[in-house]
Amino acid sequence: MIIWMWNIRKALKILTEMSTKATDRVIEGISKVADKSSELPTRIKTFLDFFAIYPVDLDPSGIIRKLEHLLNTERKRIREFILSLAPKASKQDVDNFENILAIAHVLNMIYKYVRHNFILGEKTKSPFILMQLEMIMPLIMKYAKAYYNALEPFINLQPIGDGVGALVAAKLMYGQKYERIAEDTIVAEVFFEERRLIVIKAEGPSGVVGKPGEAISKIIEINKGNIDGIVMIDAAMKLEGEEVGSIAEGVGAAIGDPGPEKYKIEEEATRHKIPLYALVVKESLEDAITIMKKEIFDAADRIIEKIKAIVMSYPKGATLVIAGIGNTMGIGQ
Amino acid sequence: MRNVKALIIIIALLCSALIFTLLVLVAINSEMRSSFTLFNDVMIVFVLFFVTIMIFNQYITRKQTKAMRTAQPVTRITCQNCKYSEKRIFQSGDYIFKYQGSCLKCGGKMIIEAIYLPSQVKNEV
Repeated sequence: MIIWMWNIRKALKILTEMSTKATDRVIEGISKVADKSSELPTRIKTFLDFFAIYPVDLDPSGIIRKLEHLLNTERKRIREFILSLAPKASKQDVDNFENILAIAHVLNMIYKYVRHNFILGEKTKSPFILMQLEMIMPLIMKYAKAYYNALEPFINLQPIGDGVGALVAAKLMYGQKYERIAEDTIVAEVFFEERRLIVIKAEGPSGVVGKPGEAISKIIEINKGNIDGIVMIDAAMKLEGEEVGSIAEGVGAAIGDPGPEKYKIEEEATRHKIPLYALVVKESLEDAITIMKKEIFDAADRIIEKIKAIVMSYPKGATLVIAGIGNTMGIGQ
Repeated sequence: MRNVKALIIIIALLCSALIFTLLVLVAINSEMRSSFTLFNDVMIVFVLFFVTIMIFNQYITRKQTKAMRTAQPVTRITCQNCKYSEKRIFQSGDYIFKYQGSCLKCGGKMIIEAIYLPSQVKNEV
């Protein structure tokens, strides 16, 4: 038990350091564009305890609508907070601060969770609590390190592994005229071998994911349901032993949102009987939130070949929606 | 090739650990010959041998971690006309599909085509 406590204490020390450094980086970043105020560090530190209470699921009817409202309110509140600190911040700055604030928040929560369980185990002298914590510590530390390493690319606005879907869409729509179809989401029309492709992605190079669900719903509505297929491209969590950047093909809505966007896509696709194809690039959590590795970048071209193969399986004149899902940070269009 | 190199390093490590251990043992034995038995000698050899291996192992791990930390993201700029491309270390403000001026060779449009973390730092840039 003493060895467990010693190990956990050591890990807690590292977690404290990570959490403090992440908070300092957020303060440093916002200070550059914020109004000079001595309250800034205190306000940011207090805001790290911000939370959202998820809707009651005992009566699941209408839960998606409630969840969407909650997520919109949460995002709006965070953005309002950033703007209250830095009223002159550009949209890109606000998007960026929103991301790094989220990372600092996660690190703070991990640290608090470990500290809570450690103190609880110490107080109750319970070897079971400490043993469980000691056993799960390597995983917790792995996640914490992944988030900590994610700070640098988010501060420098570098493309991250999660952006591979957005990269594919950007490569397909590059040079074409595009327009905004939903919040932070753009659409472009591309013709390939006499087939019409409607390409969707989040509007880069800011660190946003957009609203692909809303965008796909609108496109189906505009085209009166005359869509022959939807191809979704996203990054997917790889299992240990699988290669980073390997590609997998499947069916369904390939999107990792909390629910509302995925629900909209599934609902519309089912209503109009539109087949949903999913193409994913395998990567770990760390790969997904840190700078895009070459293996992941190279996977984008292989994904495009797969998309072309799917498109060519349709007759001439067909219309397909190609949705590149993911954070488009560092990726223009 | 990489496996052969790793094997040579491991053999070199084992040999140096063994030599170091034997040298320490000889030094101890020459000081107090009478009080040491064969069992004690073997035990000292084992302990010193593994301690040396562990120290080397730590040293190599630290060296590798340091190398990983120094990995820099690369920006690849390509001409849309003649496909001439150049690589450089990522600079603040870079993003994929950012216009980077005219190509020095053909006057075509240069854009940032790729930003990524190279797999092997030594082979890039």
